[in-house]
Amino acid sequence: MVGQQVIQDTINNFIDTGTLPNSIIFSGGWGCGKHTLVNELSEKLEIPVEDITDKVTLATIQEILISSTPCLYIIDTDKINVKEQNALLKLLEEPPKTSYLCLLTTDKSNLLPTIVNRCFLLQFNPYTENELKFFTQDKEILDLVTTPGRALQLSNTDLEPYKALITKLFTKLHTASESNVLSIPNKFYYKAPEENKLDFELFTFLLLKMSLDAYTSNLITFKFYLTVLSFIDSSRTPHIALPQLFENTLITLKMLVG
Amino acid sequence: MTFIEFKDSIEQGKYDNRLYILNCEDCFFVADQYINAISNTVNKPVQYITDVKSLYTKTKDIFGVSQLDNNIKVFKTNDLSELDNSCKTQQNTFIVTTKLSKTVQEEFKQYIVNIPKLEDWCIKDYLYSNLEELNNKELDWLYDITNGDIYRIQNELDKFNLFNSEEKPYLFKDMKSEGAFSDLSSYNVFNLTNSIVNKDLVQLSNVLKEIKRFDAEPLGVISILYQSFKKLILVLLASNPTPESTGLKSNVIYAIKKNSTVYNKHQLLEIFKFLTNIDKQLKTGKIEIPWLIDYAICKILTIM
Repeated sequence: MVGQQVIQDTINNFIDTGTLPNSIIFSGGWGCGKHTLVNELSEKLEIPVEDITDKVTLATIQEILISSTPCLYIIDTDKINVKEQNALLKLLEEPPKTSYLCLLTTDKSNLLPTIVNRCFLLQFNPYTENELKFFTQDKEILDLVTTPGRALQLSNTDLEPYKALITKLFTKLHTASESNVLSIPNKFYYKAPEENKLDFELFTFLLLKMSLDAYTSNLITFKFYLTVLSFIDSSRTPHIALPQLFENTLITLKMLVG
Repeated sequence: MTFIEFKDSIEQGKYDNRLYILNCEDCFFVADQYINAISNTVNKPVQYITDVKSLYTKTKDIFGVSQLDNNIKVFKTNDLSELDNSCKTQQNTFIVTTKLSKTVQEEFKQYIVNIPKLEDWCIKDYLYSNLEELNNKELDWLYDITNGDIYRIQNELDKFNLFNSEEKPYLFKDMKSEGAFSDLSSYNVFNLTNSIVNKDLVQLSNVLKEIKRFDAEPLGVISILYQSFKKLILVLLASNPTPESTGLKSNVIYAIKKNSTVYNKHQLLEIFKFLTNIDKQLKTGKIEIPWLIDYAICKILTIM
């Protein structure tokens, strides 16, 4: 793992002294290396990793509590709601002695205080430009990204279709019919990758970056910009139906520009 | 032939084995009753045919036997606009309809029996005479809950007829207390959503009175409304909607274009914005599922 030396040293120290906490929060932006660190941890501990993000129920928690098989459980807390966070409390209060729970988050303020209080927090630091250059030399990408994961993603993706679509949204929306506008969400995949479709998550990342530039250069109005921000923020609501949210935003933007 | 003559001929066993065109004023119930009575009298089964042409184009099975000879043939339609003259020679044949064209009326005059409309008192009388074990108050209650719909009343009578006379009063009390009559409704969720999409307030009012008696799951209702309004936008707000551009079949596009909507462009867009925002409101706890249908109806109908 490149960078994050403080976190790596902390974890190594815990392992060497046998004091690794059973519940750890890894907090850092998308692509900062949370999953990479978890996989390295699992290799050092020689125990398997299991992602239980989609299975946070009282029944699953119960199974984990009575299981004697050592395991490193991951939960992407950005994808669970408050009710599911509450279901985790039992597991955090009495964690199984041979297993570990790793909660991943891009923003620890989204976690309940009762969860944060019961876990050991590891906050990822921002990456330096030199560290990011390890992953890409493209200056345009280096201007956009702050994490290695995002740098790799952008390096391996043709960004032109995304940029072209976003530019059309800013400049051509007033000429499109509402019917055409509603066809835009069909161009994306929202979960598993699909052939000939664009990555919705990458689209929102680029939309955020480009909309600020568009606003500062008067290409879009303040209301338009606020609507985009609200959309990107709402898209992070756990379990939300992204295609419908996108349709709602597109129609709202269309009604703004006429 | 008048209805009274037809009725008497059956009751006196003088039923004539030929073609009858039963022209019903409203529903087919009375016609069905008489056809079943004839079937029992002549001891022949009833066969329902879906195409009137099969009456005069004989088809044979693999043994060379004509398919329809031994049965009472019944063809039902809501509009009998034409009929081949060869039908006049048919035997044991009933065509049941609620509408006759003038041509058929003139050419088949002697074969037509006009079945009168079932009045409310007739239906009540039918219910009372078939459930004498219940008291008048109970029968009135059952009549009201079935909205005087003869088919629904028959459904309930069929249930009661599975039991003997002594058991029926207890059965009624048990069924009433356990809400066994609560699923009695001739409406379904599509009646609800169509009345909202068409802004048919009379229909909507009628449907809402019975909403507890049919399965109107709130998220299902919102989903249907979302799909309906999306289709309207895809077709009506496109300059040249095609199956390729809209993802809809051409007959759906045609139907939407043919039936003008009661909502203007602004209203359609506001309604669509509202419907696509419901998921976010649910996931952020701003609204709860039990209130969704009322909320959606009030919001949609008040969008100016």
